Amino acid sequence: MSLTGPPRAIARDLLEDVPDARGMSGTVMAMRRGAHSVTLPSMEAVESFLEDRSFEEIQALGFDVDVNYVDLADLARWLRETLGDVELADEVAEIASSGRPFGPTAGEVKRLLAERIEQCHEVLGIPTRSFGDG
Amino acid sequence: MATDGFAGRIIKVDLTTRKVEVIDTDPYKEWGGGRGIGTALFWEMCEDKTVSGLDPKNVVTITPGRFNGTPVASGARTEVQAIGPQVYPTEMFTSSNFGGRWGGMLKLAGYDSIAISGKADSPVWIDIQDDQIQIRDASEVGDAIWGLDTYDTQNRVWDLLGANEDWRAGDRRDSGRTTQRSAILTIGPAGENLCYDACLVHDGGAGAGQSGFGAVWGSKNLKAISVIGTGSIEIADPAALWDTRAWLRKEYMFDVQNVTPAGPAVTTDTMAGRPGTGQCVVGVGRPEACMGCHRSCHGKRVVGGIGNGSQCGDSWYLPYEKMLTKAKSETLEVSGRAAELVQRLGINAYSTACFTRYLNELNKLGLVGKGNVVDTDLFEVGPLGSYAWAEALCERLAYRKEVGELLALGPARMGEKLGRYEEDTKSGILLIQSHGYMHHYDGRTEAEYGLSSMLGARDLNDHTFNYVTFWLPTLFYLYKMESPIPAGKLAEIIGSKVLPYKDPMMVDYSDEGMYSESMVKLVSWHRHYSQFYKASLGLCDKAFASFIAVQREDLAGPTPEVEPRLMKSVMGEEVTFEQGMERGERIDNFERAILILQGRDRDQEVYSQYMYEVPESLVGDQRYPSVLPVFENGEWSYKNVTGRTVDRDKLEQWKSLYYEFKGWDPKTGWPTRATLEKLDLGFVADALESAKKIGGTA
Repeated sequence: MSLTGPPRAIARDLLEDVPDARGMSGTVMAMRRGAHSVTLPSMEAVESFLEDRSFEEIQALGFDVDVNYVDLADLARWLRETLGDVELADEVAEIASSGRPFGPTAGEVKRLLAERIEQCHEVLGIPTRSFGDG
Repeated sequence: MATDGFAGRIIKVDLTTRKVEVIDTDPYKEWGGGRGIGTALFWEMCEDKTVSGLDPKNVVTITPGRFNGTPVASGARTEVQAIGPQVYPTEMFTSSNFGGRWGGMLKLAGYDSIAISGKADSPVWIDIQDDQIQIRDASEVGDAIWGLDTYDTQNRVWDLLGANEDWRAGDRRDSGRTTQRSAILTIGPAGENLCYDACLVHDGGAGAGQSGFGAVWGSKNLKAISVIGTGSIEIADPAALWDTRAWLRKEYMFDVQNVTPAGPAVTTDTMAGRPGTGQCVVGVGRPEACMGCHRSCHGKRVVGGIGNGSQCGDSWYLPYEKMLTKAKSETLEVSGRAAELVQRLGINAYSTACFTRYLNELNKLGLVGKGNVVDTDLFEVGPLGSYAWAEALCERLAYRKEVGELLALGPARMGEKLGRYEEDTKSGILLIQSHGYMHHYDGRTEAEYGLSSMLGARDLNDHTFNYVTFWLPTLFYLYKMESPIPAGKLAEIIGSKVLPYKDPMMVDYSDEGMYSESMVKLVSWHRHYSQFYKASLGLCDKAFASFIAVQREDLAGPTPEVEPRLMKSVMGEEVTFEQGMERGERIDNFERAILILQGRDRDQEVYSQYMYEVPESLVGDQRYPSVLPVFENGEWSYKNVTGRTVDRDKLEQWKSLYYEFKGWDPKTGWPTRATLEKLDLGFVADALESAKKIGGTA
């Protein structure tokens, strides 16, 4: 799967944070402490939040397990309506409607988002992906 | 000393008179230990049970479960009980529970409980070294621990006792020897400053988090209790206990050479499934265990020299940091530091998570800022998710600075103070499910979790069914893999084990099942098991009840066979599983009588408004899968029941069924005399009758 590069005009927008009220909702599902909501303000935050883990890796965590959950259909809608990235939204929507489970597809979506972020960096001349300072 | 798992003595401390009394445990043995004994002590010692949590007349008990100090695996929990300031709207008798070494050490020093009344006129701490019990000066002119955080307090006490140098119990030749440091339970600045969500912390983070007992200690000018014991606990049949452990190991324990591939949920069983990681929830850690436990599920993280580290509290800030950070390593670092922050300051991590969520939602509504409804510059200190934000929140809360004055009231009273409680618990942005507590699991989907909490005085936080009925199917759903245990088989196994009811329909979480007579039995079973086997004997929530063992052909775990075996070997009594459940029912009624004297009736046993009106979610339309066993159209399956609401009328009908099942008056929810007398609680019936609060008909 490969995305065409984003036009320069929207590349910066795709990397920007949106206001809280327009952020993407996610849930941290944790065995010991229940479910807790998060509002993800940017595509980069969503990419960071999604995890590419196999079931075996989940198993190995025992009751330390937590799952970072995002409804992928909602994510496609958010990418389309809030960020305006129609191509990426279509790709995510296709995965979301495939009937395949969340676990493995979360990794696919994560890789798609990472690809888009790298493209934005390229278009904008950002040499390496910078990680936030937390 | 009797050979029944008891140490034989109970300490009573009156802080007002600074009098210490040691009494015999014998009259209290009928209550089993832990919560049962603590309830009996509170009943006797707290003369006016309607006082607030911070009133000197409040009595706080700290009572190890019966199995503490013995080689029972996963049996080192200790109960704290008192009137808790966190309970809302009326402060009521409630509890909290912690592991680690403290309970075992108190037993080894020769005591089954410590009950504290009154209020010291200046800060004190209690130093217990075997038979020597001293009330010591905690102030600056004394041992100078008042004002310290929980870690510095523990290190200072160890220095005072010489434990950091020579690793023994004082200098008395005949005091016995031990390689252990004293076990210390302490409050931090939040407790000293009477924050309603202040907790008690032991070692790195094995704390009694919920209910505000840190503030209760602070109100009594009690900083810490240090205990070191060099004795031992005699049990009825040590050989039988080892046989039981060997039997569990052979029949139920994971084989480290051939770990059974199964869902993570079943790893929480006492022996079965897979070994735990033994790590901290966030960050690199070293496995550590509570005293006597083989599981080593606590993680010791970065905290120098303080073991038995954080558990749930380790990750209170993790969701928020995930909103901000782009590299997981940074997430772990900041969340780990934030965990240490709440542990050091002595703040309940779960309430802090509730505050953070509520403030974030209010901020989104434009209600937070200087001169605004919530008058604070908190969101200007740094973005939510940064360490700076977490530090500002916790410091202000613990020291009642700036917005901390408001936060110190706890989330529910904060909402009330803002004049927003009704509105925000209707929308659900103030996520208080019942009685002032944020839920761990949502009663709109996990019915027994919500109902068991609503019928008590706190978020029950008991995962007996949650691991196997929610987590097991939900994780397999997320990966669309076939569960190792079909829903019908799960119901069959659990149904065969939930004595005396033996009803597989108890785990039917369908729309109909959650209001059924079988759900009445499930909630009763849940509460009775929790009251006796966990809270009174000290069995750990992470291990018991043990329904499932995936590596066995029959998939069946050791409950209800293991509990009587443990009781017989430790206590020397032939107690059937069902008799243990009856003891749980007795404690449940005893505890309920105290709540009733404090004003509890049927009308108070309700959820917050959002539970009835807002489809199950965390905020707005946010959903996550909640997959549970259901029996629909004549067959069992696992089903995603997310997005459900509670039907108020059906819940009220269900409550009537529940009260009748329990022998309580369905009009009021008060036990009848006949019910109480059947449970040998005639003296409780007398007290309720005097207060004109005895149930009329069952």
